[in-house]
Amino acid sequence: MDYRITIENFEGPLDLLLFFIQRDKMDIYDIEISKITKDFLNYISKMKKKRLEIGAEFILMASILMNIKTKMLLPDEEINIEDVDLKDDLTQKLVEYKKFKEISENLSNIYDSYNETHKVFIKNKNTKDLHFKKNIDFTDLTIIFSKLIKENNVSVIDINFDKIDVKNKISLIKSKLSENKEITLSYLIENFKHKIHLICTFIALMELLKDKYITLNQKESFSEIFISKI
Amino acid sequence: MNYKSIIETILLTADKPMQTIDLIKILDRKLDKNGIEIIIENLNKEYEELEKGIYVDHISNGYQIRTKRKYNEYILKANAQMNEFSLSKASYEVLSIICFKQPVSKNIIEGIRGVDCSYLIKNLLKKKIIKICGKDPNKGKSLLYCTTKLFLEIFGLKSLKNLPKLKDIKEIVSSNEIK
Repeated sequence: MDYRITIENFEGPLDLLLFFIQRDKMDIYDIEISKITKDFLNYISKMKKKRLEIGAEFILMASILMNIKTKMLLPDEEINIEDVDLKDDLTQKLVEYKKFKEISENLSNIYDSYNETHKVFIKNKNTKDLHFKKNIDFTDLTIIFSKLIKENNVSVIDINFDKIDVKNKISLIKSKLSENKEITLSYLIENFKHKIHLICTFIALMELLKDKYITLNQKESFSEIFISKI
Repeated sequence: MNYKSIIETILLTADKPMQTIDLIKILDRKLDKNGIEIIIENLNKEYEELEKGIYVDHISNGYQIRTKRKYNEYILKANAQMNEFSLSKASYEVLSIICFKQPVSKNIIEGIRGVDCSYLIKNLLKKKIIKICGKDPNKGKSLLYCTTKLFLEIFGLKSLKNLPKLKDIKEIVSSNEIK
């Protein structure tokens, strides 16, 4: 389980910088580097005092700010183009981040506002069996197979690797599909003793799916998977 | 045959927005896109005249019957847990980058936000609001992410083409309030 601490609700160094810019009513296209660097470093030391772990991204930003600040102390003739770019880079990042921050606030408003209405439908056990099959995509397939492989506890030591390859599995699936319109995944893998079979079958299904030779679907989550020719 | 009743019952038994193309197929192509649009319009008129608590919405390339906004407070009183897709501020940031830049890699998302986004992306994938839609042909073949039909459904959008420009978003919020 992953967890993160957001100190005083800042989503990262860019968010913190934006906070300073807005608080001090700075022009985002012309940031006062020395002031903002001071505030930024102060913030980091406060975090340290609270014994909070400081993310690497905050340290990186601190070093970028200090780099820009030192370059700005140099007399004009010694500043080269790269140093100017550093500040421009930061400005661009801030502008872009600000744009998406605003979009995300709006998106959240759209969600809240739209979810004052709720979908209406009659839950009917038979409905699912009638018509509406759930299409399975790459993400689902990956999840399904990683579970299958985990569940398959057979040892992998004494495998005979002969003729177990993806091509083989592709032709196996194709021949089974020429006999039957639709086959189930459990039927396809029922006699497989080793992980390598599962892995090759998985890749083969991915290939066939990519070539639009087959479609996979499922009546509900965790239920049987049907493989059918397109 | 009364197509209006057929469509109404189909919509009532579908738990996802019913795609126009699927409706056409179910009705053996006796109606075209236009015909279906007219029927939906009539259904909505009927619900309005009879002062029903529901309406048909045009979202995610299809149609879905939904409750009217003004009854929300009562619905929430009756069902405490209706908000199954509530997302954090950080998740919304990731989602908005994906939504406007798709297909997009994790690298680009993290470049814009300036922080690690692995966990947030995983969570959005789990909720099926985004999906993996390919690999970047150039940079290290990293995975590319894009939004799903479910995304359109829960945000009430007709299609990705109807994704609002930044300046229009505020207008959508206010127009939703009228419904």
